[in-house]
Amino acid sequence: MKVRVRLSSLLRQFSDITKEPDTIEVSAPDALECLRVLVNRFPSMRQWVYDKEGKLLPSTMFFVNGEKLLADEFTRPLEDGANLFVLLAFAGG
Amino acid sequence: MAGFEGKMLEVNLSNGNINKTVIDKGVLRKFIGGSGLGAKLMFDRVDPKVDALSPKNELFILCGPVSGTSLPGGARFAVCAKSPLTNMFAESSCGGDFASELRSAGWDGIIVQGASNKPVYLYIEDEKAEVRDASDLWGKGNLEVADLLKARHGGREARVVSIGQSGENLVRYAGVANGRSLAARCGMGAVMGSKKLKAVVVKGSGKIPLAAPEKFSEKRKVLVQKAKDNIVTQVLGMLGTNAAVDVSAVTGDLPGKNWASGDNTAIAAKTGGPVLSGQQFLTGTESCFGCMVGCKRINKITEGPFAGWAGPGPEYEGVVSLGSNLMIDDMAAIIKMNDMCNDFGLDVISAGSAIAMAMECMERGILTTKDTGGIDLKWGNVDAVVKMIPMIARREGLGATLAEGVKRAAQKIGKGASEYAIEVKGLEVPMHDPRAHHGLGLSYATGARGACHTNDPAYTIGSGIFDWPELGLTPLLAAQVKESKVWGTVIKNSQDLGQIINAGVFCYMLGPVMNAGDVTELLAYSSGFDYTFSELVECGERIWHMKRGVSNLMGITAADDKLPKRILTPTTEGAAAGFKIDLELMLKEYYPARGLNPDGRPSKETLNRLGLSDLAAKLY
Repeated sequence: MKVRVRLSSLLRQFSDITKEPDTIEVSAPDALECLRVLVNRFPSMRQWVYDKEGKLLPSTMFFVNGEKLLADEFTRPLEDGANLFVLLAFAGG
Repeated sequence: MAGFEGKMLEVNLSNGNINKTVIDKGVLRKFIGGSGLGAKLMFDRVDPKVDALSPKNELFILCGPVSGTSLPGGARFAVCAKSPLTNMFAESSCGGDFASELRSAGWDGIIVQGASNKPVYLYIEDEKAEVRDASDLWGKGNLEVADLLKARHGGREARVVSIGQSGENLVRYAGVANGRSLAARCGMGAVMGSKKLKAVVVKGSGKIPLAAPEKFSEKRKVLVQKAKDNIVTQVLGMLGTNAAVDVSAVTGDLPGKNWASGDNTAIAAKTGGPVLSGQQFLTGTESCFGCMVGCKRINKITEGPFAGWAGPGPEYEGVVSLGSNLMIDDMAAIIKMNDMCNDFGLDVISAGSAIAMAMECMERGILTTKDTGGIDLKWGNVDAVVKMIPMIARREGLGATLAEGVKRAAQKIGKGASEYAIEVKGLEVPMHDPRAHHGLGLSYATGARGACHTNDPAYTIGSGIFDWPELGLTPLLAAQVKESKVWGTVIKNSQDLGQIINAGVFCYMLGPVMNAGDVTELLAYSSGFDYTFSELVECGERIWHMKRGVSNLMGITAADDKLPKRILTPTTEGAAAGFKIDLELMLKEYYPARGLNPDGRPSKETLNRLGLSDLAAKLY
């Protein structure tokens, strides 16, 4: 399953991967697996999306084709060519 | 009992009398401190029919049990009064270093009555307090006043709260500054200005009393570690509150063009956290007293018309209010304009909103350059905004109209301008769009001081970074932000928690780090009351109803619990496009959950249950 993944600008900056293309193609069946593949490729992302025990941080959010995924949908199968957006949720101001 | 003792310095500027008042322990336990105590004091002492800018209004500068301690996020204090902007109960808070010094001087708050007939400032050195002449300070901006007063009262550095020119000129949204931090909202600076009180200077040499200092210290260590480990506070330190611009743009939360534009990602890319905190603009960071987060930016401008400027940078609200909401994508200009607002003492949310409304009125032909004195108030025009800010602060030309706040200004302008006044109960709406989080819309519509993102943690709940399961406030709620059906009880609970936070006085930025146990223990160890979380929640409920009841006595009814038509109209683009807020549905669930009668007053049963029979007697 090929998924087109975009990372939020904050996540790209924190992980020091701003020079990577805006959209990264990943082969994975669901959102969680896409993230795992990306973290393997860019280890500097790990601290921003997982806690010390490797559990997904609540600030990591997924949008598929513009729709936000609920927590129990992170392993929902993605369609071939789906657009996945990984957002570092952050509040302030 | 050591701890938060409710020692108030009471100053009457009409006759110069200065007294010490100690708040009853039972009152302290029930209202905690900060704006909770402010609501109780206002109920007890201020005639609800009084003109907010008359000597009969009173100004309350109030600490809470954790104010001024070395707790991260514990530097805050509240400023309360009847608001000249909303004509109802008002509170505003800020961080900085004032609360710590005031409590080190032995005071938990200041009550200002009456009005002087000439400019004065209040000088406090431990137990001593006196009113001094401030004629030489009148007409000066906040930063210069603070510098002058610190130099005048040398030795150990004095701490200062002050008003800028906007407070002197009774701009209805003038704030109270503590250096670079502002208690900006609701016009507390105008109340201070109406009393001719330019500043309060304090020097304290004592220790802040804590009921259980060792336990408090241990708890503080735990919280410091949690803050260091938490991704939200890490990001705050790296990028400041402005990091939210990037996220808000993606979720449809970022307002643009006076709330008419739903997709503001292009402007966000030029004004977001990485830009403000990038090499081009950032020279350092700062924290409030006792905090290690470092969310404040220190900026410089090296190119363009503002080159050479250096100083405190903007927060998220300033960046958006003076940025995307005015269609300005020039980061240097936003930094400069934000600094102008701070120095004049203008609430940057209200000032930006007033200018945004004027720009829309220009676009629609409701205002012309004849009305603006030749200033071309078109979208994105930095020069026009730079000219308009001082005019508001000095009440010159169109600035005098905009100084009234968008609600009154639109009524004065007429020709349908009210449709472009984005406010609730007269308070300009902060820069988070409820179309991307319907629960936030309910919070705005029913907030204790009008539309406000710090009445309660609704905004953080919608961001999915808030987890207080005791109150049903969990990250899962973030998945339902574009639905209206789930928020009635949630917002009621969120508001109860918000009252505890604002009474504490805690910083909202630490909300995602703390939990119910932390807050309970910190308040117990600092105040000396053996609080449980359920008692604190009841305090939160009591405080909310006291604020609401005071506002009811000042004229607020159910008809005021509304949102601007523009916010009730879905955007046609951006991540929240097409999502319509059903406020009626949310209010239908919220009113009974909140304990309100259909007319908007707290029910007698609710008030009696909370021990507020005195309020019930006045309301019924």
